[in-house]
Amino acid sequence: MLTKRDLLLRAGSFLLLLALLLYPWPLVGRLFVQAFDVAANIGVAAALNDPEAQAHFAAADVAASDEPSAGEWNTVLSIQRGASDALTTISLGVRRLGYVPLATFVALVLVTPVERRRKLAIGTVGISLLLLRLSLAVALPLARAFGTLANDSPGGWLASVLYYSLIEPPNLMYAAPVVTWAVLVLFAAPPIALSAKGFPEASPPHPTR
Amino acid sequence: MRARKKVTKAARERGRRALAQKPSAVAESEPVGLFGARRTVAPFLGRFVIVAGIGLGLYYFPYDPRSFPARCMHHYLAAYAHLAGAAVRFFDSRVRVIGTDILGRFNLTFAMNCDAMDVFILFSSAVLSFPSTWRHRSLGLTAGLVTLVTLNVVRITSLYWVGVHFPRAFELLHIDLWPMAIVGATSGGFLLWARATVSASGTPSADKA
Repeated sequence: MLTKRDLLLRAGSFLLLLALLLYPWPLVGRLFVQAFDVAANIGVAAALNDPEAQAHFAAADVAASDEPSAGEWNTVLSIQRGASDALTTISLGVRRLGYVPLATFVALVLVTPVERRRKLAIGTVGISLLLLRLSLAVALPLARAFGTLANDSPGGWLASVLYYSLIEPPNLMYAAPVVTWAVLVLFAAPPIALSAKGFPEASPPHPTR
Repeated sequence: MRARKKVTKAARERGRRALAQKPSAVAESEPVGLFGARRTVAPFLGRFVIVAGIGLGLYYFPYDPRSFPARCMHHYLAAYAHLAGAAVRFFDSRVRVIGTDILGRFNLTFAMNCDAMDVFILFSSAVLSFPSTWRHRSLGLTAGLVTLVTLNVVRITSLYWVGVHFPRAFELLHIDLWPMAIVGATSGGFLLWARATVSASGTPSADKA
């Protein structure tokens, strides 16, 4: 059972860890975008059936980027439906889509007061779920671009609702990892710092006569 | 002495039986948390997913722009923009609001997601799914709504101010810091409400839902 002091210490540790992870360290953005591009290109190559269609991810040119502050975090998706079609490019901000949610989740897991085995299980499942969300962020616009999901079809509506509910809103880059963490902690370790009477600790019983 | 010992034993036995009959009583092996026991977590999460899914689906559905829900949404966003514009006018009397646009020395457009509805839907889904009484739920929802609207109006006012005086910091505040603050406040608000509702009604019980 956590005391208020422990709780404050853990909240402070979380904020410190998050600040360290989100600080714009040199090369972090570039490395993350490169890893993302490699994984996304493998995924897209496996998923695309049409030999004429092309989709390729490549890191944005920082010097030419319209958004200098987030330039190194941007990747550019180039799509060509057929050999005769024009090349379409879409810029994706990978920091907001992938890095911040993962960093937030990792910081939350590290300060969670549970044993190492459970922490590892929560971390593994949570990161997998957040990577699934990231892959949806890529797959849904691609499916729409290649006409797999028509705009006025139930599949298109569902895709649109999924995209705008789970991926697009800026608040969700923090809300998604927080909800994922809370759900996994509730499943894996319900006694998280909470007593039967409340949070963080039950008040002492009133004296009775 | 013997008679006293017998009474004590009987009293202990009665106490044990009463504890075993209490709905909140759980086996020692089952962890006790904010939700009373692990078995109440799954129904809570199930209800949370359903309620949040319905709420997010209704909000993010790609309505036809001429349809009734789309027009309602536009009026709602315009009303919210007027509320935020009135707050901004405290600091800059030249600010005016046209439709969903807040126009002044720095222009803001009030779009979907600017109302933090995604976070409110998640919060209200958690409150509605939590084992509690309807009185506590309605109190939680009202307090959450008022707090979130107030926080959001403060957010828009600060964004306008930063946009006028420190335009380079606008993106950092808009995309990074305010979402973190809103998600943190909402999560903390839910925990406080859950603690208060559990303290007020004893231990949580799944059958109140």
